[in-house]
Amino acid sequence: MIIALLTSAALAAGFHAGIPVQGVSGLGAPTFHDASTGWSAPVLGADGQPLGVARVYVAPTTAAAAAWAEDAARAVQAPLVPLPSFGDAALANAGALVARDGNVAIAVSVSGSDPQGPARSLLAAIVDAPAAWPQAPTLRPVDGGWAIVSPGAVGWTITGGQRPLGQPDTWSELPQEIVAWDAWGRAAVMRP
Amino acid sequence: MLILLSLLLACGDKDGGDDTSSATDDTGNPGDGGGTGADGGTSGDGGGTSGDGGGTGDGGGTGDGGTEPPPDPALVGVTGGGRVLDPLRGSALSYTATVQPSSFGVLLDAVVVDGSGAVVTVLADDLAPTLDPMDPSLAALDVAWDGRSGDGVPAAPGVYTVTFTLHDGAGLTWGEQGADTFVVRTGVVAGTWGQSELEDDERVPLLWHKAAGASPYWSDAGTTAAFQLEAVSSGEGAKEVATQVPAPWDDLETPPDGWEGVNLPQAFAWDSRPTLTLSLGGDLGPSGKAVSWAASIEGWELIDGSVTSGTLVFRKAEALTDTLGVREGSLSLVLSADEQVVATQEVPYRIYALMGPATFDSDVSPHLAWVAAVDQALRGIEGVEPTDAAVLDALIEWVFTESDLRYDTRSGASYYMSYSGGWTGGRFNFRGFLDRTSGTIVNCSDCSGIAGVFANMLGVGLDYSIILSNFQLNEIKAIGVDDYTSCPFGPSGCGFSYHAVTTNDLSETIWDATLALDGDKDPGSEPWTELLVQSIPGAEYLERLVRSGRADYYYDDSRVRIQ
Repeated sequence: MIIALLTSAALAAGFHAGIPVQGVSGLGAPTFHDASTGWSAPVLGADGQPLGVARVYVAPTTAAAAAWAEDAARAVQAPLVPLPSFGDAALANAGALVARDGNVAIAVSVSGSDPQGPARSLLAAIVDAPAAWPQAPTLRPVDGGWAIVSPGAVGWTITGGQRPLGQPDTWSELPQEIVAWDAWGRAAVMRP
Repeated sequence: MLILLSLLLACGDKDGGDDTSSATDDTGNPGDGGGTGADGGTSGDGGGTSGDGGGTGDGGGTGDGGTEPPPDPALVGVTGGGRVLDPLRGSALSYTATVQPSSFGVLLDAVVVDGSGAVVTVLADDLAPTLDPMDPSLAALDVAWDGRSGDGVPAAPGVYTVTFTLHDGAGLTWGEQGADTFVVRTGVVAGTWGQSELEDDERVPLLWHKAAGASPYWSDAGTTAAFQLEAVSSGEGAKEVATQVPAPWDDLETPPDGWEGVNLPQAFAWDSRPTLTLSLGGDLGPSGKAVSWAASIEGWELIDGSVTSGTLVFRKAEALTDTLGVREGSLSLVLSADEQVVATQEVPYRIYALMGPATFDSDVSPHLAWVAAVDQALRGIEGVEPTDAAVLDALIEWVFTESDLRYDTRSGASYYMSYSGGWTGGRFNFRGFLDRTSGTIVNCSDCSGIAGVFANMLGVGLDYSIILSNFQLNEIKAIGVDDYTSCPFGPSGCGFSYHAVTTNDLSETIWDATLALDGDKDPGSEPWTELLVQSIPGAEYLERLVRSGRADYYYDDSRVRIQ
């Protein structure tokens, strides 16, 4: 099956720190999902209107990135074809592109434009430093509950928990899961 | 002239009945005084009546010594006492002083004095009583007090006395009586829906998805109060006003950052009989023991608490509604003392009537009912019959026909849905979808995610099912597309590599917001009969969708997750 190309090709490729979640040309503000899904950002046209979406997964392993890319390719209803010279492996059609470069996988879906442009921007933005994976967040007791401590995090995905109205940083009931994202789109998970 | 005459009469009465008789005799015919009524209004009228009824002028009986002397002016009674007044919420109270007819020509004062005897306000100053047309033997004066001083300052809680004084113009007092009034402050300071633990008091947690802080999600947990006011009144002196329960919070995305001006909307299962617990503030003063307080809301039963305890628990007498939708309005809380209405306070509300709590596999944030989602969905399917099938049918029609979405005819790519760990790991970027951050183009996975998220937020369990794989299509009309085609991606793209639909019974029944089928006998060619995919048997769905190739349902107990 053609999707398997994403898994089989060049699994031993480089291990990257990730892609900056801010500042990639043509992308809007990031949204962070769960640790196995990655983050996404709208692909914006010259007029600032959304053309589609770019999804990024900075995986802890190359195999995990390949599996993510397979999942992304499966969700495209029209046929995909191999796209040579695009990361370690890539599949694409007129509006969708899925690619993997080492432990980084991307998927771009756009309407009315070529997905290769934003995909190239993403792959070009891959960085290899800092190499160290971010630390999992911790909790600090505060008046009325707990506060999340995650130095260097630029975003969080929090499941469950409860905050009093008007106290955005105080958790009166602990979350089930806290995912902290660093500036390169890597997730560090804490399950209190 | 009559006034002078009356005053003379009054003085005589005060001094002694014999003198009165004498004075009457001296005047010859007091009834003539009625003629001066034109001058003096009530007093004049009364004079005439006195003359008529007393007979002193007609027969000279008084002079004969055979009739009773006219009675002294007297304050017979004062009504209106013992009641309760909230100057900020209630209407003014009326008080009536009744006087004897022989007092015509005398005057009444009415003042309000506080517990220390200090005058709070003057309600009547030298006013004459009005003859009772039904009973000429009586006259009366009505006054009203709104619970405020002469300067408009609401009286502080306590006991006040409305005192009538009957007097004449010469400085003589003929009687004084008072009516006590309890001045109070009333009002609710907090309200919480649900929480009774009664079986059919099923409050559904709501979530706002653009909160401040590390997480964009804030939930009321199904337990948070709807409103919390600082006090029953605000301002001081003449500027003191009753606080009001705010209108329901109308930002569907962002929760408030504090309680000021906040009245959170609520969600309940449609057939719930919700409870509403109200905490009372204010100051009932001595009235708490002196009168019998009661509270009521029309259509609701008071099941616990009392006005004097400060807590009222009401329960709706009947089910919330018989259809799904958004129920908005205002409850009128009426507080009464000895069956007299003291205060009425409005409690506005907005209640989302759902099938029940959200039905995702997870029951914690963000897998709850989002305000922004249930508000638009319920308004979109307002009035739908409360059955799973009816709700899903309505949702499919709403998404397919009324959304701004269009199928991705270039690539069939998903924009909001992704799969993590295989087909069963469907995750939907619902926050992004609500803002259309990735635009308005979608594919089948997106549409199954849209239907699944909305349905599960309304309390209707809905899974997605994956039809595999690589099959050719009969005629379909994709969402947002005007024409039927069997090649949605153009001449070289006449099939789906997969297709995602939704089901609640392992693909026995299918709902699909992505496309409409050709509903006639030949689903593979013209003419086309638009058939929305609402409660269609799974076998029929495949028959109408698939022209050739192997296609079957897989992973059909998968429930979408919100990412």
